[in-house]
Amino acid sequence: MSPLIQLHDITKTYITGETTLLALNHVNLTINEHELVAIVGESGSGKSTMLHTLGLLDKPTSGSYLLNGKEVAKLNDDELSSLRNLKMGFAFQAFFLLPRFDAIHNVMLPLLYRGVNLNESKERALQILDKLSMTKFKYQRPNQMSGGQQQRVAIARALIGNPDIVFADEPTGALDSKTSKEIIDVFIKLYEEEKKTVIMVTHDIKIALQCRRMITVKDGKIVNDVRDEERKA
Amino acid sequence: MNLKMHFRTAITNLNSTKLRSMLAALGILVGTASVVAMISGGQLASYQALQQFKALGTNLMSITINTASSSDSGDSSNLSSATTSSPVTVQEAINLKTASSDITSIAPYISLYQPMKFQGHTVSGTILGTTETLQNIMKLTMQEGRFVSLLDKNNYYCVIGQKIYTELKKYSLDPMGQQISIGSSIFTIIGILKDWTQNSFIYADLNQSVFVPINTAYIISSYAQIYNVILKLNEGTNITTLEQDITNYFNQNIPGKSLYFQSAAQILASMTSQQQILTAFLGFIGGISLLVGGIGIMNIMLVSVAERRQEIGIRLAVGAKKRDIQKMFLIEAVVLSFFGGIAGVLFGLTISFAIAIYQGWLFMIFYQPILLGFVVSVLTGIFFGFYPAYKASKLLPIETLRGIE
Repeated sequence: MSPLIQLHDITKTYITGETTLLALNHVNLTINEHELVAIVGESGSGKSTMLHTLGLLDKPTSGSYLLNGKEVAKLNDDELSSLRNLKMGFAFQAFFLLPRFDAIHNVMLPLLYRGVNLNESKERALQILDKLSMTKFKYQRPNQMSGGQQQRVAIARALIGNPDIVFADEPTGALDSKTSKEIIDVFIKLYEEEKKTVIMVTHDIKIALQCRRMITVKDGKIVNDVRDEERKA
Repeated sequence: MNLKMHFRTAITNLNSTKLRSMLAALGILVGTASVVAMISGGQLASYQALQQFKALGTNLMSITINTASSSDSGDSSNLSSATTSSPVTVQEAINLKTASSDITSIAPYISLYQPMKFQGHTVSGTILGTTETLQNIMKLTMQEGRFVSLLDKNNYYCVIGQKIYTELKKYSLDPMGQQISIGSSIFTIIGILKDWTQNSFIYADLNQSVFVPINTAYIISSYAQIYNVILKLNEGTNITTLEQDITNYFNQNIPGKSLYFQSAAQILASMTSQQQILTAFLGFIGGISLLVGGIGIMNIMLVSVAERRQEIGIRLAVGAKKRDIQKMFLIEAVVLSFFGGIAGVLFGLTISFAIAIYQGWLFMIFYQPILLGFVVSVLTGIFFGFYPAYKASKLLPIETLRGIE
C-alpha cells in the first residue's frame, strides 16, 4: 500500500500575545491509502489542529507534508482550495451547512466550485443524497432537518466530489447515541465498500475502537499509534 | 462557479435578509432618484424653452428703443434735452433694413392701453399698432379674415386675438365684421387670430391683444410711439456686428436713443448655460446622495462579511478560491445597488412626471437620465462593494471555521 499522507517534523505554533502555544510538536505520521483512522485525545491536545493540517485547512508553521508524494506545505491558498476540492471531503461536528440553501444546493457546492454545470451538479447531488437515504429532504433547508439528517447532507457534500480522503471532525459530537451509531456506520461503509481513506477526530473511545487505526495525541505529540492487528495481538 | 450561479446565490442571500437589503438599497434609491429626477426635470425644462424658439426660429432679434439721458447731471436741462430727441417714425423703423444686409424683415410695433368697449361691455386687452410683417415673424395664423397691413394706412380696422374673440363671443355669435370702440374711435373687426403660443420675445400676450394698423395707432393716442422693433435675420448672422451696424444707423439718423438688444441666439445661449449650471449643481447633490447610499451599501456588506465568516469558511473548505469569495460579495453589492437603481430610476421619473404636471409641461422620457441612473448605481455598488469583498477574500478557512467548535 502506497503512502497517501506523509508528515515530517510538522510543527504548528500559535502566538497569542506573550504566550506561544505549540499545538503540533514535531509530528511525524504516515497514512496509507484505504485506511480508517481515528485521532483521539483530550481537548486542547492538538488533535483538531492535526486534522485541520491534514485537511489543508490550516498551514503548518514548519515541516513537510507530502500528499501523494507531492509537497503541499508551501502551496498558496488557491492551490490548497483546489486540492481540497478535488481530493478531500469534510464533515464537521457542527455540520457547517449553508443555512440559506436547501440540501441539494449544499451538496452540489463542491462541484459548482469545480466548474461543473448546474444540471449535472444537481443530478449528481440527487444520486448521492439517494445513496444516503436523504432524497426526501432534498428541498429542505438545514433548519428543517434533525442533526443526524444534517450530518448526512454534510457527508453527501463531502462525497460528491469523489474524494480520496474524507475528514470528519467529531462528526457525532452533536448527535444522540443512536444517530451517532448510524453516522459512524456510514463512515465505516465508506471505508469498507468505497475503499476511501477516512480520518476522524473523536473523543469517544468506543467510536475510536471501531476504527482500524487509533492515533492518540497529547500536548501536540503522537503518543500512541496502534493498528487493529497490533491491538488484537 | 459561473456568473449566473453567482447571481442566483446573491439573490438567495439578499432575499434571506430582505429588510436589511431593502434599507441598504434605500440610499441608492434616493441617490439615483435625485439624479434621474433632476436631470430629467432639467431636460424637460430646456425642451419646453426650446419649443418656443423651434416654432419661431432662432434668427430673431428684438430692439427696445428708449430715449437716452444725455448727461449725468440731474438738473432740469436734462429733461429738455431728453425731449429734443424725436420719436422714431414708421418709415425710419422700416428703413432700419438698410443698416445691414442681414436683416430680412422688420416689424415695429406700438403698445397702447385704451379703454375698449364691445356692444356696451368693457373689454380688457393690449392694443398693438403693427404692420403685416409681425404676422409673418411671430407665425400668427388667421382663424378668419386677414391681418392688418401698412396698406390699411390709417383705416379703422382691427384684428383680435383668440382670448378677445372668446370674450366677444359671449356678447355676439359672430364678432367678425362687427365694431369695437377703442378710446374714442370705432374699429371694424377684419380678422381673428388662432391661439398663439406664448414666447419670451414679445412683451404682450397676443391672444389678449387687438391689432390695429400702425399708422392708426397714432390717431388713437397722442402718446403712441415706437419703442419696440422685431427683426428677422439671416441664419448665422454675427450678432455683435449687427448690433454695431444698427447702433450706427441710429446715431446717424435718429440720435439720442439708447438701444437694448435681445436675440434669440443670446437667450438660448444664456438659457443653455443656466441649464448647465443647474444640471451640474443638481448632479452634485445627486452625487452626494449616491455617496451616502454607497457608504450604506459598504456598511451593510461589511456587516454581512462579519456575520457570514462561517459561510466563507465552509465555501473555502469545499474548494472556493479567493476570487470566488470576492465575486460573491461584490456581486451581492452590485445586485443590491442595481435594485436600488431600478427603483430609483422609476421613482425619479415619477418625480419628474409630477414636476411636468405641476408646471404644465409636456412630459417625455429621456433615455440619458435613465441610462445614467443605472450606470451610476451599478458603479456605486462596484466601488463600495469592493472593499468588503476584498476583506472577505482575505479570510483563511480555519480562522472562519474555528470558534464554533
